[in-house]
Amino acid sequence: MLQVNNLHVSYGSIKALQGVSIDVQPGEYVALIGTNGAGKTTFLSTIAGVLKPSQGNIVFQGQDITHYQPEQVVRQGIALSPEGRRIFPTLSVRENLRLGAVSRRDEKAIQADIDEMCQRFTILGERLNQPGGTLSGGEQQQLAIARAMMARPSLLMLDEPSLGIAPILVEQLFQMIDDLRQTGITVLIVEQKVERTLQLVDRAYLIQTGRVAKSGPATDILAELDIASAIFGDAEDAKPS
Amino acid sequence: MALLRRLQTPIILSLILIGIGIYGSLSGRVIERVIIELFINLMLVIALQMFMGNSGIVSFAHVGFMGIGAFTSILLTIPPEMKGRALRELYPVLQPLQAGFLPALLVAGIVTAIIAAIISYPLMRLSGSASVIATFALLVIIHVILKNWTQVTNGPRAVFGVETVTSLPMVAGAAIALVFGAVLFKDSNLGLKLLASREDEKAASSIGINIVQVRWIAFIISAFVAGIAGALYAHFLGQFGADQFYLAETFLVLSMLIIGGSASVSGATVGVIVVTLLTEAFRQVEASVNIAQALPFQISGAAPLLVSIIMILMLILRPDGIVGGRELRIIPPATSTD
Amino acid sequence: MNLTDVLQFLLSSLSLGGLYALMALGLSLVYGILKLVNFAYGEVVLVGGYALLVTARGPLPWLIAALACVAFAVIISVLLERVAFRPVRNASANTMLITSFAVSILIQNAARLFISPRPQAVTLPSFFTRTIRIGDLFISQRDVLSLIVSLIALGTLVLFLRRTTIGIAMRAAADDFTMSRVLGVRANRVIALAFVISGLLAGIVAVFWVARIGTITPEMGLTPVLIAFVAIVVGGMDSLEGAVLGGYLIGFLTVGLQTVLPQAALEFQQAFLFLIVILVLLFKPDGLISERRSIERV
Repeated sequence: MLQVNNLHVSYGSIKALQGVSIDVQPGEYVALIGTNGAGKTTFLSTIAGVLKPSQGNIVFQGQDITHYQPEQVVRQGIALSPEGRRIFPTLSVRENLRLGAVSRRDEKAIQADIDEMCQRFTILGERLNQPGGTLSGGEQQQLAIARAMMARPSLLMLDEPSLGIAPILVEQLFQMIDDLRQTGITVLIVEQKVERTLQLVDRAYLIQTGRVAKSGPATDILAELDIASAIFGDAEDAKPS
Repeated sequence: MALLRRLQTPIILSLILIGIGIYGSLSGRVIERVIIELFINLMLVIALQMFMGNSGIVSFAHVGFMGIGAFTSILLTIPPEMKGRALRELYPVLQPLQAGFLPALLVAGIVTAIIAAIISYPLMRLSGSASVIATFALLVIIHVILKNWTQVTNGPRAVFGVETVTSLPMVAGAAIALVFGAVLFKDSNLGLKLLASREDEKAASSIGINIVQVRWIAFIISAFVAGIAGALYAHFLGQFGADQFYLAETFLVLSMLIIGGSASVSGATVGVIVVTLLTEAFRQVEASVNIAQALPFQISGAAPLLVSIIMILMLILRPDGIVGGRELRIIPPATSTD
Repeated sequence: MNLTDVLQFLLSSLSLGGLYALMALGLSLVYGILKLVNFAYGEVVLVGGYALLVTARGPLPWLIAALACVAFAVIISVLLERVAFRPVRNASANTMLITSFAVSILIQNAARLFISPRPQAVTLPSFFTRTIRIGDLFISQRDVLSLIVSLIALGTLVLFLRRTTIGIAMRAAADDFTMSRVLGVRANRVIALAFVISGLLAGIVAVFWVARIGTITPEMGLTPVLIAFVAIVVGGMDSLEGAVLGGYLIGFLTVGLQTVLPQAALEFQQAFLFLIVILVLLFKPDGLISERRSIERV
């Protein structure tokens, strides 16, 4: 469904990605794991069209989308819930959700989808007319995911969904993401909570300093990390290097 | 050799400027005046370059400082007995003030620098749009005061009877000295700190650079130069008003700096020369069209129109200016490993 | 101060403030999305004014002339975006700003060269110059009309920004332009629309501004754009509501100062307004009115 080949991205003279290739099959849950600064967020931003690669290409459902603008990428069926959530603070929750579907034309179905999101993420239903900026971190995260879902994407990209969320809510959030499987959606997730993420996804790529260091079924990667943690300490802190 | 390497840029620029100066002194009165104005504009543009080019912050205020310098100097150089006629509502305390031309230049620079120092300190922590609007606000405030403080500046009426003592060798000398000063400033400790703050504010303050302070000092130095340029300009024009120091002049110096390239002293110099040349060429064409009555009406003001078009094209096509941020050199710069 | 004075003051302030609010909103819409401080915005008013000048001299009804004024303001606004601002959209904020300054000088010089450097008197219909007297109260029809039109324009715009999807998209773009694009908001479309609306507002201002001063000069755009700068800074550079409130606030302040201060001090009024600008930038950089930044930081 998504093939990324040999992707290079630089910020000025700093090379953030140096030839990353990944492959995502329809209906799969795939994770990108790795330390801070390894280039995971850069990777998702590039797929979303926000950053331009200096080399390599991105093919989605047979279409080369490497040089697409962000507004074109989402119309191909890729939605991003970005790092730091980036909720529109002055817009109400409803307006945030409505904008998630700005690439669509089917007004009736959009209203139905807003209702569906409110059932799936009940807190959003309660806060529908509140400005997005007044929501708590966890609520904003749910809104960011729901907003991305509003595009009815075939590929959902989640960037650090657990970042800045109260620990007791993190498990709830992972459950919500897991529940999305029933919609048949494909998920590409970037996360710091490595162990929990590997329990959620089917496959994973380990990114180190802008390159793919390892890839394989999540269970294999998890097993390797378990061995590492047995030697070096807690798996959650095991900074593979 | 090392000294030559360091000073090659101002030497090259000086040679060009000396050439222009000699051409001016050998030409008729009209061209000489154009070239005096070129050197005065060059002083202002380099003053602006010292602050803007090194700190990355656009200042709209400098032409206002030029105005402050102009009015300060004439308060000293107009003889007391003449002041009654030139400045009719002058405060009586200011009437007896008198100084020679050169001391008056210096005082104009110092007064301008002091005023700039007092009002600008808090502004130096602003950056981006906020700092632009703040310096623009400063220009408006200075203009309104210059234009309406009748007891000091003669208010909305022009000032007459200023002795026109500004001469070509004088402005050429001052401009050349300034070119040396500006290049040395850029390479000085302060200049480098300023450049660092331009590249990355956070990184600069994390290595202990007091950004507000370095910006402030640079701002004061450049205001000092602008004040002197204003004083020279006043004694070149002989009669002028506050309107001389407002948006039109601001646009002229900004366009000179942008067209040449604001990041280097060479850019500032080239910009002034190119824009002056273009303006004069357009004026010539305009004059001959008018004299020949080639058009059914008289045209005037085509030059500034064309300068603004060129400036917009430069901003779109070559935002770093003609020189593109480098300095003119013959000997390659020393490598950082020496 | 009796009731008549109060009413007189309110009418003048609201009518002038309404125009300032429209200008400020037009400036703020573009700033919010592009981070462009549009110095050339006053010249959009100017071009509208010249369109009014030309059409009002002809045999057409004055309303048509007013519509032509608005139409030309919209056209020049969109044209400037396309020709001058789009090519520098990805350059630094300074480059964009200096570009708009150059455009402003360009249009003024073109007006001097091709029209006239001297003031041009505009034919005004008697409706604008008439005053109704109720007791001691003198009501200028022009002020009443300007007050009503600006309220209608603001009201319509609020509805547009709240009720339509493209309106919501514009507010979102003003909040976070990149994120709005990630969701699918078309950049060129919202930016063009921002310039359309901002031109529309400038056109409305042009009609009433010209009706106030009676003549058009190439420098005419300067005062309204300067006031709009003051208003958006006071209201908070990023806030559309702030711009409107800032506009009305400056309207009240201007009329208030004119009532209170002696003539000699009035000369310095603009200096005083810009002193407020500097103080606000220094001490309340998010504006005197807007509270949203503090919410957002939570």
